Order: sequence, then C-alpha cells, then structure tokens
Amino acid sequence: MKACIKHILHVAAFLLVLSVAVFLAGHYLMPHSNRYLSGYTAGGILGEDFDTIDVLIMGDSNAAQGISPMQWYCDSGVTGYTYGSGWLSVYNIYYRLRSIYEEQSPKVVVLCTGVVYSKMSDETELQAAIGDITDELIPLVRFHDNWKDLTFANLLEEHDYSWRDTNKGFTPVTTVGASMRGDYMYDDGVRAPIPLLVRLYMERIVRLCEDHDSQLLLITVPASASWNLARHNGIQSFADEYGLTYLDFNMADLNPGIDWKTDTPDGGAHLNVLGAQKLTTALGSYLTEHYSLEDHRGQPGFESWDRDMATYTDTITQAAAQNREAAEYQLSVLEQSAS
Amino acid sequence: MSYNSFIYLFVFLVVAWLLWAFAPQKWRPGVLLGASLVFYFASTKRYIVYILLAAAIAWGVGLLLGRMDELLAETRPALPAADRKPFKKKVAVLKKMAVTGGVAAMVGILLFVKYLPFGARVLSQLMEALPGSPVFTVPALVQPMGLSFFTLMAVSYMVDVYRGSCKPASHYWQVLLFLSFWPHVVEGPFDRYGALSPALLDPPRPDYRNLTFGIQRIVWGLFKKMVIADRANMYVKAVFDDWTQYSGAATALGVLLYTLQLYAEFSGCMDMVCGSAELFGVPLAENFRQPFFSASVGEFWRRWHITLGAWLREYVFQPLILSKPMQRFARLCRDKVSPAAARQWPVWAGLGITWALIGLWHGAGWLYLLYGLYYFALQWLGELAEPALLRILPALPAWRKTRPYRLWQVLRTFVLVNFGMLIFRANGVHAALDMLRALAVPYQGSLLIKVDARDMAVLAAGALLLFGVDWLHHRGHRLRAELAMRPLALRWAVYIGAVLSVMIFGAYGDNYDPAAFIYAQF
Repeated sequence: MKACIKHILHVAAFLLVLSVAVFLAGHYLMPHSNRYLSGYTAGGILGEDFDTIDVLIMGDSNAAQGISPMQWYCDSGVTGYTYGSGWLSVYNIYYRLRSIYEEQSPKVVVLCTGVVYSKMSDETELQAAIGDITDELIPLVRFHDNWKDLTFANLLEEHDYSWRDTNKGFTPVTTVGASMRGDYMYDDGVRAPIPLLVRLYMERIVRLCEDHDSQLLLITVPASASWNLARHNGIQSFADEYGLTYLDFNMADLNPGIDWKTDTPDGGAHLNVLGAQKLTTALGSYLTEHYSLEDHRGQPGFESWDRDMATYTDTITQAAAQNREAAEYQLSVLEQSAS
Repeated sequence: MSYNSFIYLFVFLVVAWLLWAFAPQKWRPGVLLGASLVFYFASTKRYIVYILLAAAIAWGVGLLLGRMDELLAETRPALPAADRKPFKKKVAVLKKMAVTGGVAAMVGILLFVKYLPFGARVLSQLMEALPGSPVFTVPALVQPMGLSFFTLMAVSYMVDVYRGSCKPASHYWQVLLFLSFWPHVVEGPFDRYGALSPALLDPPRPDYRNLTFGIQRIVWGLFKKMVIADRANMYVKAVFDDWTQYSGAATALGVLLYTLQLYAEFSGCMDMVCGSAELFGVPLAENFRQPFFSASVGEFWRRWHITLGAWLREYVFQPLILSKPMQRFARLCRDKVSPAAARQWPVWAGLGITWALIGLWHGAGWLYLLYGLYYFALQWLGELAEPALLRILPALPAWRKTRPYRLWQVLRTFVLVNFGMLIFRANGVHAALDMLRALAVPYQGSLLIKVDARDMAVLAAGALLLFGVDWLHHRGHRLRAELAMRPLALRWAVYIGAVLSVMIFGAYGDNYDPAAFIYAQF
C-alpha cells in the first residue's frame, strides 16, 4: 500500500512538472504578434481597445471574405469585427469567443453557421472535436509548428498583441470564378441534423452569449457550393428551439442580390468584394433596424476608427474597381462560351 | 482508431488500463477481450464478423484436434496390440483432415477477400491471348482491418495444436482474445498462442515498472511515427506520386527518405503496440532487431518484420521443402543432374515460393510479387556468385572478418534494400522502372521538395537519434533499464524532453499531411 501511494505521488508530481513544461513551451511558441494568432486577420481583434466592438461576427473563411464591418462604421458608425478563419469549427469558436469576452463586450454576436457542417471529410465527428478542443486548451498543440520561426533574438522577446486591422477582420478578394450551379436551395424535404458534439458546443455558445448579455444572431453567408436547404432546415430547427433569430442569406426572401456569375472568386464557395458589399449592406441594415447600436463616429475613444475609415475607403474602392474589372472579364468569357 | 490518435492514447488506453487494473484477477482477461472487441468494432463496425468467424473456426478445429488426442490417449491402451497402430494412423488422418480444413478455411477467407480481384485480373490478362475469351472482373471487397494478420495467426494456432506445440483453448473467447488482442490485430506482430496465452489468460498484476516502461516505449514510437515518418512522408509523397518530375538526387533522396519513413513508421508502430501490451503485462514478440546493421539481405530479413519471416519459415518453407512433391523433385535432381543440385535446387524452389508469398502478402499486385522476387534474386545470385568470388579473391574469407569489410557489407545491404524500397513504394511496375532510370539523370532543381530546411534538419537529427539508439541496442544496452538507474532529475529531463519533442516537432496539424499506418493496409 505504501509503495502504491509512493508511486501515485511520483506520477502526480511528474505530471505536474510535465504540465508546467508543456504550458511554458506553449507560451514561447505563441506568435509574437497577434497578426499571426489566427488565419486571415482574425487575431487583430486583440489589438482593438477594450469594449469598443458592438457587433462581433464569428465564423470561418466565408465570414472573413463575406462581411466587412468597417462598411457599417462608414455608413452608420456601428463598430464591428469579423473573427473569421479557415476551417474554424464551433469548438474553436466557443473558446475564441470566451477569450474575446475578456476584452470586449459586444452587444450582438453574429454566428455564421457554415461552421456547423464544415468538418474535414477524413475525420470523424469525435476526432474533429477532440483535435479542435485540444488545440484550444493546450497552446503548444496549436502553435507547435512555430518553432520554425524561433531565433535566439526573438526567443525572449515580449509578445506584442497591439496590431490592428483597418479592415476589421475582413479580407477583400477581388478575383472572379463563376458558379454555374443554378438553384441550390431547392426543397428536398430533408433536414441535416446538427452533429451531437457540435450541438453541445452551440448550446454552450448560446449560454456564453446570455451570460455576457450579448444577443446572438445566427446567419448563413451565401455559399452555393456548400449550402443547401437541408442544412438551412437543421439550423432553423436549432434556432426555433432556442428562440434565436436566424437569417439565411441563401434563401430567396433574404438574398442580398448575389450574382453567382460575378460575386464569387471560387465557384460559389466564398464571396468576393462585390458579393461581400451586398451581404454587408443587407446585414448592416438588419442590425441597425433591429438592435440599438450606437453611432460612434467622432466619439472620444474611437479616433483610431475614424482614421481607419479613410484607409478602408481607399482600400475598398480600389478592390471593388479591380473586382468589377474581373467580373466584366468573367462575363465576357461566359458570353463567348455560350455563343 | 489509430495507435497515435488522441482517442487511443488518452481515452481508450487509459480507460482500458483502469478497468483492467481495478478488476479482480479472474476478470482481467475478460477486460482485455472487451477492450479488444471495442477497439476492433470502433474501427471496422460490421466487418467484425470476419474475426468472430476466424476465431470460431480456429477454436473448433483446435477443440477437435484436442479431442482426438484425448481419444487416442484414452482408447489406444485398451485396444489389442494389433489394432493400436491402425487406430493411431486413422486418428492421424482425421487430425490432418481437420487441420487441413481449418487452414483451407483461413486461407480461403484471405484469398477471397484480398486476392480474388487480383486473381480475376490476372486470369483475364492471360485469357486475352485467346480470341473471344471472357473478361473476368470481380469488385474489390472491403478488407477488414488486420485480415492478413489474424487469419495467419489463426493458422499458426491450429497448426501448433496439431503439432502438439501448444494446448488447444478450452473456450471460444480465449482464441478470440488471442486473435483480436488490440495491440497486434492491426499490424502484428505475428504472435503464437503458446507464447502469448499465459500472459493473456492469466495476466500478471498491475506493475509500476510495466506501466512506466510501457509508456516510455509508446512515446518513443510516437517520436518515430510523428517526428520522422510523417515529416518524411511530405517529400516521399511528392516524389513518388509525381515521379516523372524528378530525377537524380531528388529521386535518390525520395527513396532514402521512404526507407527512413517505413522503418520509423513500422518500428514506431511496433513500439507503440508493444508498449501498449506491456502496460497490461503482456510481452508481444519483437518485430525488429536493428535491421540496418545487417551484412546481407538475408540477415536484413531476419531482423526486419521478424515475425512474418519466422511465420513463413515455420508454416510455409519448412513444410514445403519436406513435402512429398519436393522430395520427388530432389530425387529427380539427384538422378538427372547431380547430388549437389538435389541438395540446393529444392531449397531454392522453396525459397522462391516463400519470397513470392512474402511479396504477395504485402498486397495483391505484380509490383509486390516483384518486390518479393527481388530479394529472392539477390540471395540466389549471391549464392551463385560465391564460388566465383572465392576463386577471384582467395583472401575474401579473411577479409570478411575485418571491420572495414563488415562496414562495406552493411552499406551494400543498405543500398540494395533501398532499391527494394523503391520497387515497394512505386506506383506500379512501370513507375518503378522509370524511377530506376531517373536515378541516372542529373537533377537541377531544389532538393527542398514540400519540406523546408528546418524540416530536413529535424529529419536528419531524428534519423541520427533513431540509428544511435539502434546502435546502442545493437551493442547490448538496455536503455530503459539503464535510464531507470539514473538520478531522478536526469530521468525526468529525458522523459519530458521526449514528450516535448513529439509535441513540438511532430508533423501534425494544418501544415502537414500525415500518412495512415502503411502496414495497417496489408
């Protein structure tokens, strides 16, 4: 018995030392700038001043390429940030949202529902969940590959998480790759059930938002390549159960006017700048109509936003012009191939 | 459920060990069986029926053989002296029929599931020569996990019972546990019932040393798989999948890295499974003994995938050369050629068949057959050339005792094995020939294909560590036991360093494309 207790204490002590080593190594391998914390420019949210974001959009690459919150600031002074990154899952989003709440108090959290069904095809639901949750709980696992960027010079450098994104998480894409799928939201009478673990974490997100007095809005970014009515029905059923508002911009009654010949860079998987402008306008109108969101333009504490507005306007004007050129070319190619 | 997955390491193994450790002694085999069936079912779902069937056949045949032995022992002394011999002969015939039926059933399952489509394709190709001949096509069947392992282990069980080298299992679950035991059901090793059943059926009590040594071996296996094999896979996949784009040094490096990948992965997997079994006090057979320090390809194969070679030697080669047709062949050689031919030719015929089977065991295809016959040709040519070599170089026997010559032999074997690996990994016979030709064409581009300089540095350091540890084992060191004698601080530094190395340098996550365990596909 004595030997057994000794062994248990020995193992416990070893695990403790190992845990400290793992978390220390994880700390040193975290990116030195918040620019590289996540895909696209999601990490920029950590550079924003505390409690300045009123609308927080959480999602995957569809969100990052499809929703431009700075456009809302230009139009109505609403502050927003798109926290979007490729292959972000519901599990990732729960933990990222929890950490964002440490610095921000958004009035509205917009959850882009593409993440609910976006598991990689070679993984089981359980594998995907365990992989993503481990990534979030053990920084060393998520950032392990950053050893390649370590040098003697930056090893002991302090992390600088003050980088800000003037596009507020939006990544403008100016190329065009038409989608010729036609109607993709036809009624096939089925409902794609939300996987059990995903549902569990969706429920945790709902509770997290309630605990922080944020209103949760579910939306689906138009995506002809990956969305369908069965998935819409699955999300609608969840929204109904929890009394949440759900806006599916793929549905005919909410369609912001997406032209799949010109508004997508990759055959309907994502939106380009032209598509993003339409979706952002439609979502912005809904937000300003249904939530009491303040106009922060010119207010003290938002000077950086006023400065960013000018930079953003230049960027988006150029991007839209490039995108229009690409769209015209795409249309001419389609016309030629049709004739 | 892969052996290096989070679910296996931190959920399955932990739960299984806790249940096993806290179960009463008589229930422990039941816990092992339950865990094995959960593991197998989680990976194969309804195809579990194959292993249930294989175990039922093997158990039934074993039981029958045991009953016949009992019958012989009980009845024979009571018989009149004149009837004893015929009775013994009759029982022997019945036993032979039973074991032949059992072996045929196992081989039949294996042939039907794994080789039938290939056989039909070969038959069609042969028939193509005849005008208007039918084309045979058989859809590929889903191959249940570990089929090539558990069917052959079932064969060894039945034959061992037949030969009297192990006692038959009295209960079905005992054979089922032996065949389905999760550490060896996916990639082996090929264990023997007689050697494994004492630990499986009457497992030792939970032991701290077994626990710590088992975990250490699993971590070492993870290092080999995740740091070396999965990183090398990026380069290997690029070069072998797009072989026409590369030549010279790029192709040669691809082949070298594939050899490293396969060794690190297969031996790493064996470390993980042997470590897993060690946690439960079950000693699995060793499958590797520092193969790259071999002086000949024959020695290489006695150190690489040891249990497959031993299985084929014991259950194919030896019965084959002792069989009546082979004895007739030996007599024919003696009468028509020479007494020396009567000694050598049947052995070579047996070896040729065994090597062909080794090749085909890896997969149903011409390339695998070529792979097996490549090693046969090397051994055969080596033997044929020996007398001529001794005539040209009379000092050769003396040289062979020197260290430089031994080093030359090791290097030569390494190069020959690498050519074998090229054949093994190439996308078909034509691709293998193309790549062999491409080795002679200079390559102008960068050698950093799908990997960067840092990945290459990790690969080089990993390979040095791998072969360094092999060298120490080769010199007789028992590293885990020796480390256990060192001061606590040093031990913990090594253990924590090992875990951190796997976590930091492991090729997992978004930037990598780790391969599934290669031998699990056989």
